[in-house]
Amino acid sequence: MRLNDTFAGGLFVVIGAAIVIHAQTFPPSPGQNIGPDLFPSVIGAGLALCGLSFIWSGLRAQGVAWIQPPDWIHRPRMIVNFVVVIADLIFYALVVERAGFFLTAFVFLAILFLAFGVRRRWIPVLATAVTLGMHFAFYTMLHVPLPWGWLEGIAW
Amino acid sequence: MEHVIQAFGLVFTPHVIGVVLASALFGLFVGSIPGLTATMATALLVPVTFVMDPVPAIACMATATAMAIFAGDIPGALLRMPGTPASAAYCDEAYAMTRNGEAEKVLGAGLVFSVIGGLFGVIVLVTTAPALAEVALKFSSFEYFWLVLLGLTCAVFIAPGRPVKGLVSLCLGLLIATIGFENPAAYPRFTFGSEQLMSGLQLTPVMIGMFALSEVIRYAVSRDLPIEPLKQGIGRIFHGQWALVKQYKMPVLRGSVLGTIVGALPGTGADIAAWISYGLSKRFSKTPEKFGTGHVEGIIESGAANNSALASAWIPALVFGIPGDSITAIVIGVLYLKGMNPGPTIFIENPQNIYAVFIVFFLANLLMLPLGWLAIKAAKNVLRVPRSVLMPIILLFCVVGSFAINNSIFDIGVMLVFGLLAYFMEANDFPIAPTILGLVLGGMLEQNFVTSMIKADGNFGAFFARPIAGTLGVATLLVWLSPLVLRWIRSRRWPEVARGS
Repeated sequence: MRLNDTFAGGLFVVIGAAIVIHAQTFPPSPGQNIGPDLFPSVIGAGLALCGLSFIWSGLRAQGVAWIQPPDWIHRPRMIVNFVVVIADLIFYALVVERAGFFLTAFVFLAILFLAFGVRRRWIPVLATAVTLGMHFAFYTMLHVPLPWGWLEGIAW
Repeated sequence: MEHVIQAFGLVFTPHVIGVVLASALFGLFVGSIPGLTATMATALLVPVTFVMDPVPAIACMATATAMAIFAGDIPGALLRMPGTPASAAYCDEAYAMTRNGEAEKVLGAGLVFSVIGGLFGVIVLVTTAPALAEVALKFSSFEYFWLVLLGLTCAVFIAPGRPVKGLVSLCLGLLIATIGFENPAAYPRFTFGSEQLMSGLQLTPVMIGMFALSEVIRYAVSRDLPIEPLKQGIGRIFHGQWALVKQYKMPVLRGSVLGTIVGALPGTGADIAAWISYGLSKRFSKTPEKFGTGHVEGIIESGAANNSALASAWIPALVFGIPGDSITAIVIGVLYLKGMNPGPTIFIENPQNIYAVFIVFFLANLLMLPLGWLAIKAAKNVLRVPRSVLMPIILLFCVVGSFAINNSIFDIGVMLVFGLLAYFMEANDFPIAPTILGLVLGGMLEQNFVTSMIKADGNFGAFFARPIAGTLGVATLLVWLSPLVLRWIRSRRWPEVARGS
């Protein structure tokens, strides 16, 4: 997805200005001439200036669409892949503490293998092996407390 | 001297040697697979280094990246797909050599000259870093402020493409660095009432998102080109390499020197070194017409350049805490976690650890010869590992690795957001490195500015009052003004060209 310079520039100006305005609400540091607002204000102003430069170059190059969709937009398979990767991550983050690492990671991997076209009969074997391997590496070797969730009863 | 002996003791233990060998194999594997980069390897290694002592943790990253940058040449030569961005500059040239039946020669040259360039960079690192540290001991907040600003400036202006895009990317990184209450005024900024944002964003999930998740997304939306199995076997790769060394002494030296300089500049790493070096090689070559038809000269020069850049990027990272490239930006985070705060005092407080890091660098570059030979021999099989299987595993690694830093689900969200951000930034040709540098250095920039202003009682002239600070300040301002000056000179000399452009 490519943004046209004018549109991107407008976005930067808005974000930059919002930061500068928000930074004005920061209280000054007592006894110092520089408060916590200075640094964000300078960066926000810098971003807004960059935005103006983008708007300028965008206006000179007329006829470019505001938003140019990525070339994979015409390939349904790719759209599905994109959505699956993002949705799968959200699924993991929402479910892992309740369902536990083993079940969540297994489903997480199986969905991705399926989306990326791994042969179906291999998926259960692969997903199981990777889940167990990852659990061994992080839980056993690196002592990361991966959640057990529903499998709390068999925790080791 | 006793520190050097201590350092040898720290490195030559079964544990550290085991870590070095394992991370070497990991680096070779990651480098050989197109779509997996050396920076990604480093980002994914951060959670793994958590439980390690400082020396093996750093050894792990130094070795893996050196190997990955070399291994990136392998698929470039065999499949015309660079394994890491650092091999992209001469990928077509290398593939042309393979098509001419010179696969052994180009792979061997990639390996031998990677080792030579790498060793050159390491020697410069070992000799200059301690000397620079002596000088840096005298630096105050004024010098550090300018040094950080100069570093950020270099990152913006040396990156390929329009500087204004680099500047936006830098602003983004600096803004993210302001989140939380860890600022001179200890006032919570941009936290919007979120407790997780109080201490700012964790660097590791941001890095994993920007360098690993973005790569997985890119894979997900691109057609998975079937990798053609290699037909011919690969024979004696070292045959005739010595003759090449003798024939191309100057290009090797030029590539190594240029790579070392580019690597030491903040924000520019092995990939940019390789591009510049390949261009220079063509310009200075006696036979520039052969470039593009399968000529080894440019590969030798830029192959040496990218590996030498890798080592020299550690010079500013260790001495000033200013990363030379994206990889050392990650390494600096790890150094802090391990209590080895980068800066000139590290050479006084922890000399044995620093010497140990140096020894590991030599070791990694020497190990590259036998292990690289193995990797080339195994390339046929490694390249057959389907990416449809690898990418989901990497994604799970991203998730678990982000979680592992704080055992927090929030960090998985951070990783997701920054992965998407990096994906969209790259789709719009915004460089990623300035964001990372801004994020790593933002706090340091503000801290040194505020400290200096308090010392100077609000008088900005003090920033130019000390000799080194003044020089750095003028240099920084000159780099900022350079585009305007160049435009002015052009308009004076060639008014019609300036108007035309």
